[in-house]
Amino acid sequence: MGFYEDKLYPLVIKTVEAEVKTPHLQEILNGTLPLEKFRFQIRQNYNYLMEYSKGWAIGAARCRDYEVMLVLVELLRETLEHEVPFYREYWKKTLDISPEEFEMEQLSFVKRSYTSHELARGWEGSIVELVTALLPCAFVYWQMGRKMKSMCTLPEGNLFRNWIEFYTTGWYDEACKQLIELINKLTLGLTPREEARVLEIFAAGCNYEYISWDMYYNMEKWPLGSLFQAKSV
Amino acid sequence: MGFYKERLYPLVQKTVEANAKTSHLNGIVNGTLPIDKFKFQVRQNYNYLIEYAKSWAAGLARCHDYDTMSIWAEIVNETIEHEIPFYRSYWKEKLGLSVEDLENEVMSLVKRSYTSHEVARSWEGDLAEQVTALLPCDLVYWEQAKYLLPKCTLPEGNLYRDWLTFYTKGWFAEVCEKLIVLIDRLVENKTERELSRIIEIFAISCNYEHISWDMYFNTQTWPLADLFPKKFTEYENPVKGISFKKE
Repeated sequence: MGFYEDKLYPLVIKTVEAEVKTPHLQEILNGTLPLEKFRFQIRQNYNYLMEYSKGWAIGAARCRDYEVMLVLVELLRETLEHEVPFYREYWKKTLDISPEEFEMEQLSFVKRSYTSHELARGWEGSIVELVTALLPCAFVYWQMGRKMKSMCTLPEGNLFRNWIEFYTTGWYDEACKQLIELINKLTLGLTPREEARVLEIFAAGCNYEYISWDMYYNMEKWPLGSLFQAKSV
Repeated sequence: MGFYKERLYPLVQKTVEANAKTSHLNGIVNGTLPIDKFKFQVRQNYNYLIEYAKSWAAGLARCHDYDTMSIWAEIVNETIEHEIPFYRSYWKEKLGLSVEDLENEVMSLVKRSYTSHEVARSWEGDLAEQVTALLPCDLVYWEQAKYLLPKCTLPEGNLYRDWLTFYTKGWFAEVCEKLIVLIDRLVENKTERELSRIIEIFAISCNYEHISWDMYFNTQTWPLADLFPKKFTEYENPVKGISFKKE
């Protein structure tokens, strides 16, 4: 048993249990979520991915050994060359969201907070702290996908079912298993103080994952939204 | 008119007007705020200041010349050597909050989000972006205190009145005025695209300043608070007790 199995997995499970109870995920499960809310989720997540990529890039820049650097660069490439283009094409096709619509979307309070947490830890901490800040995104979606797929009674080809299945495919499994191997190696020999810091970072990320669903459901941006100018593309 | 007055000050005004309507600030102005909520505010703010100091230090690490560096060093020094020790002694005396109480506090969702925004912008952007992320902390507090103090009918020496007065004092006004000169200089020759990034960073921080008051009032930490480990404080710090101060 490694650090992931011992220390992180229990937090992932608690987070998934709490989030499947949210109205947003419940309505995805039974297929009744208003499309407008789902589109908001997808647009926000697209902009999230930009910042998330920057997180891996910071890691690549700050790494001291070739092996770790390779993994981080792979994750960066995976995000920029596959996930982002997939978002642009797939959601254009299925939800008719144009690249302009994606670009015009302003990161909401929750997503801005989440990505600032990822980037701040990425710049200021050790490589293990950087990786930890980015992990809940992959791990929570992975376990959430598995749990929800087993509960979902929507027919094959349904938009929401497809979205759930996206996180249960073989390549996603593979990516998560690689991340587990990486974090288990990086956390070898941590002092209790360093370990507490890593767990705090992970717990904050899990909380951001959790509150994202209510933010999507309520289509919440900022309490003082009028302070923002239109976003320049 | 400088950039601040023209483009940022209107955002400060809107934020202050919205803040003044919150239950927390109303409770401070009329003296009815339960003391536990105020203590929570102070404990959260102490932990905020640590990250605030780090953001200026991140800027300092990225200055290229001695002159610029000296300005940043003064601010870092001011925060670490004066503001933080002031917090530690003043609130001990007034509220009985020990350094342990302050250190043991886990930063709430809002404060963690706010400071992550400050720290992330400080590392990834240029000095103007770094300063902008930190400006609302000073400038919103300043304008807010000037706006609220005349509405406050509490007697001199009242805890809440003293807290408001603190941010209207001459030395704080001087800091704020200097920060305005600093940001106006830093944005000289920026394109409209660059300026819109600056304004976005500023608007985000103003929003965090706004939601902080409801967070204090509801003593909100995290929705899934039980995920957090026991916090390690400076008491277990391996470098504790080392000092480079000249005797």
